[in-house]
Amino acid sequence: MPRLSLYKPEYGLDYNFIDRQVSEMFQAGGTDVYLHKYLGANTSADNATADQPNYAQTSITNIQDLLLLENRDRTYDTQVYRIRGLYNVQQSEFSLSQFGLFIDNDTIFLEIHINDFIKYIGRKPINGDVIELPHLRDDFALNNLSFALPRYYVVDDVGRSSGGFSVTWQPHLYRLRCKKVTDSQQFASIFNQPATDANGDPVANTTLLDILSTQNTALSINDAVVNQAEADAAKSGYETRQFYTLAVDPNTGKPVLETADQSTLDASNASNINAAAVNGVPVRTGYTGYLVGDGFPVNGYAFGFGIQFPNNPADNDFYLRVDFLPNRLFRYDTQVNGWVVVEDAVRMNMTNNDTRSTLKTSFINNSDYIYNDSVAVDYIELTVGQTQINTSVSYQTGLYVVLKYQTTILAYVVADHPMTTSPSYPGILVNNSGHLQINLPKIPDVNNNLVQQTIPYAGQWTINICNNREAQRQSLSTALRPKADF
Amino acid sequence: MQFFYDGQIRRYLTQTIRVLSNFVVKYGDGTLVRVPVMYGDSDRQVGSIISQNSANAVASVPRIAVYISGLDIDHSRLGDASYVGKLNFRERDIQVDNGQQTYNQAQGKNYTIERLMPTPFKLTMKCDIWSSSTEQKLQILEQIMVLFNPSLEIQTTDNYIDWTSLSVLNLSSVNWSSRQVPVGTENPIDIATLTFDSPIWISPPVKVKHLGVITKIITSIYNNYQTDSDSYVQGLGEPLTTGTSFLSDLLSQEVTTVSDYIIQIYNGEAILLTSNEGYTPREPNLDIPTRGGSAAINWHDLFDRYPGKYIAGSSMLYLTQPNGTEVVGTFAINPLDSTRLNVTYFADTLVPNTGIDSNGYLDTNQNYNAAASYRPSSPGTFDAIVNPQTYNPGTPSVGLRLLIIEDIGSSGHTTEAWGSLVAKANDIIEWTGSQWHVIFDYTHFSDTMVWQTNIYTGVQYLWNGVQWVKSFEGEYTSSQWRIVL
Repeated sequence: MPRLSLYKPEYGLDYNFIDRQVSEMFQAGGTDVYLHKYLGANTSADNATADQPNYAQTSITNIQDLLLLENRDRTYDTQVYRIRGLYNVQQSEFSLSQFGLFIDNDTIFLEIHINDFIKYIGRKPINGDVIELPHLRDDFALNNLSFALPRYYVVDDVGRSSGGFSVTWQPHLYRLRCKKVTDSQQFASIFNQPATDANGDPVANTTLLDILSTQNTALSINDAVVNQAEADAAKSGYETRQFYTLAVDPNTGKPVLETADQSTLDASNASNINAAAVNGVPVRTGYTGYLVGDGFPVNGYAFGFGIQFPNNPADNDFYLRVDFLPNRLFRYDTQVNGWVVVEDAVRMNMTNNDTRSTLKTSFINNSDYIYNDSVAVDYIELTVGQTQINTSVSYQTGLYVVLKYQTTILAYVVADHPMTTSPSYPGILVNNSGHLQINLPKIPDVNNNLVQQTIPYAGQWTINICNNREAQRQSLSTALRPKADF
Repeated sequence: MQFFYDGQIRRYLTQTIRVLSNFVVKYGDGTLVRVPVMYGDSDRQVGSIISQNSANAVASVPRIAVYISGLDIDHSRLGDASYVGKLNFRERDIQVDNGQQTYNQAQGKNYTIERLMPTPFKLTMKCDIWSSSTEQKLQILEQIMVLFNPSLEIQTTDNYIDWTSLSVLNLSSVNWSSRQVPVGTENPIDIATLTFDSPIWISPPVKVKHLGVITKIITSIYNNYQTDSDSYVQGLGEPLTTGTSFLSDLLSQEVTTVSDYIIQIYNGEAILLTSNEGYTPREPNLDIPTRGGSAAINWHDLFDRYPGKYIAGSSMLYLTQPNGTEVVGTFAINPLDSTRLNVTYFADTLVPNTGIDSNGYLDTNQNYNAAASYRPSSPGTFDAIVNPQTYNPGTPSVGLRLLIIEDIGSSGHTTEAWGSLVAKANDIIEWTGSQWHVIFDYTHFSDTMVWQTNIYTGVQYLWNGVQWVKSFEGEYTSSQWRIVL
């Protein structure tokens, strides 16, 4: 007779019997656990590097960042699995941090049945699996009560439960240490899924992130603060447009008046004309200091703008040259018979945006290109509003169309504007009886309405067809690195 | 002390949050996600609202929190606490069209601003960056830290008057992570902390005043001065005071005004004259003056040099009288001729008319009895100035008074129009209901000034002992008039 031993090295009938009892206990007394199964890191070939490779097969064993040892872009099974689990419900208290309210003891220890998990999920639970506890749904959160807020956790550690060993010394339970998830890059594929209503149907244009995350609220609060900051100081420097500069005779110190009997009376100052008197135009602003130039003439006088001075100017005409950076304001002075610099528009919006162009940010907010490998060039006199350009060069295809007049450059990618029938568009490059014809395209605006591109200035434009372009903004570490074999 | 609060430190927080706003992180699929920035010391209730009052709400990562960790006075930047900086401003005029206020191109109100020396402080702020991965932290820090070399300029306002608005954020330290390596069994969130210090100023309110332009300087030279002895008497406990000096024996006085113009007041109008120009006659009388020949001067030339904004019908003219009082009127530029002002005088600022009763007593005489006179309700006026040799009064109402400019009648003779009246030019006569009699005989008032208003024209006249003249009209030197816009 063998010696008595409850331990058995093999998974025998005793083990199976106990395991079924344990499974039934979870089925009878456990709670539903919805599992979002982690599938692996999401990588792409486009930006793959040696230390951040692209994996041909998505696998839970892939490591996205081999340097920092992180899996940031995680892919989850769109199928949600239901399992059973047990845990001790704890009292929760909120801790107020600099990032808002957190649950102080947000860690739960969930026990699940090993064999059931393997049976339903197909593998052992791992760190990164996300679970939802449906019994913790909050039906009365501070939303419009259309949605119940689900409670999500991410598996933080996986081990065998000490209480899950049977008398045969074989384990039956996993113990998962779970923490509350955050709305972060790691779980974006879960939170970007549509939210579901009470019937479980997806709600249009509403994601889980919209109903669960503090992101939208935080952004709107941030926007409000930035709006106030912009109200306090819309631009760098100082606003002086509300102030009046009195024109004074430099010799007598007396105010300069223009009267109706003078032929040079400026009709644009009609609002200032009272009886027979109007103040003269000062030659410079009376309010000087750090960053006060805004490109506007003093006292609100009318001004024109463009990239070349107008013909036949009158005395004290103002003109803003927008081809200068910063834009430069000029005043026409008949005494010197020329345009005199008044000021540079140096005031700048101080809010970070994609167009801000200070000395430093002009190196960052730069989406311009330089064009090389010209295959066709022509010089043509164009008029404002022109949309079709008939060149004298032979028909030639290319990758880019570049139109240049003084400092103004219009550039188009040929492949972005092919021939279409609806709306009817012949394509940007057309063979017109053997000569190259350029048809300016229609480009969507911010409201996605197609806007016909036109020639903005009259003059002799340079037409250039190129086959290469380089982005002006390149990282310091990659600019002009070798592009060919040595 | 009265309450004042301008939210000055609050604006530094606002601008610091602005500096750190609108940075993004890039997910692996190319999605750009903005990093929200909020104040890091929120109210617990607001924290609950943001998390939808639910333990199930999910905090978004990455996040940036900004909060103040220190505020210390900066002794190295202390300045003269009593220093007052002044700035003068002219605003553009505002016009209202359909309820919409817009600036036009004319001169509006003007002001002088007085600013007291502000107190310097050093403000220390922390910026906590919560990221969900090291790569995310690297993305955020690389974008932010490139701005600090080592400082970033910030402005709390773009107000030209605010001399404290400009400051800088100095990146004083970077705490790479709140976590330790090795992490251990727990998995705390990762927070990088940037510490900024900023030299700031806290300022009391400014004083906004009317534009402080000196428009008149009086230079006086005296030949003598006396000093009172103090009033301190030993043993009586009276306060010890210093003696006061009094200047006396004025030798000369010169008044210089912003324009040095003199003005001619006539018939409700005011006209500017240069200092060496004059009207004929210069002294006021009943004649219409004629200009000396210089070019007319535009009143705008003067208004532009004065503080304030000319407002037709509201701006005021002050005329200093020989007795030290001032005649005051509002004015408006003649719309057809901007060299002329139309002036409307305040009746209360004119010298009161001298009452004359029917017995010829002035109101300064103890026998004066206006109530018993034929003109009890208006004893300081007459009804018209007439030439008795050409004017026939007919049958007037009782109490009618006339100032005559020619002699009439002689003793023992009567005239058809005036009966037995005998009067001289400059006399005032009155109709009793049955006859004319003289109530003001100028020969009795060679050393007395008498003011009377001609009801017919509304012009007040003054008997100066020699002749009737308009009471305040005439020419005023640069020191005898002023305007308030």
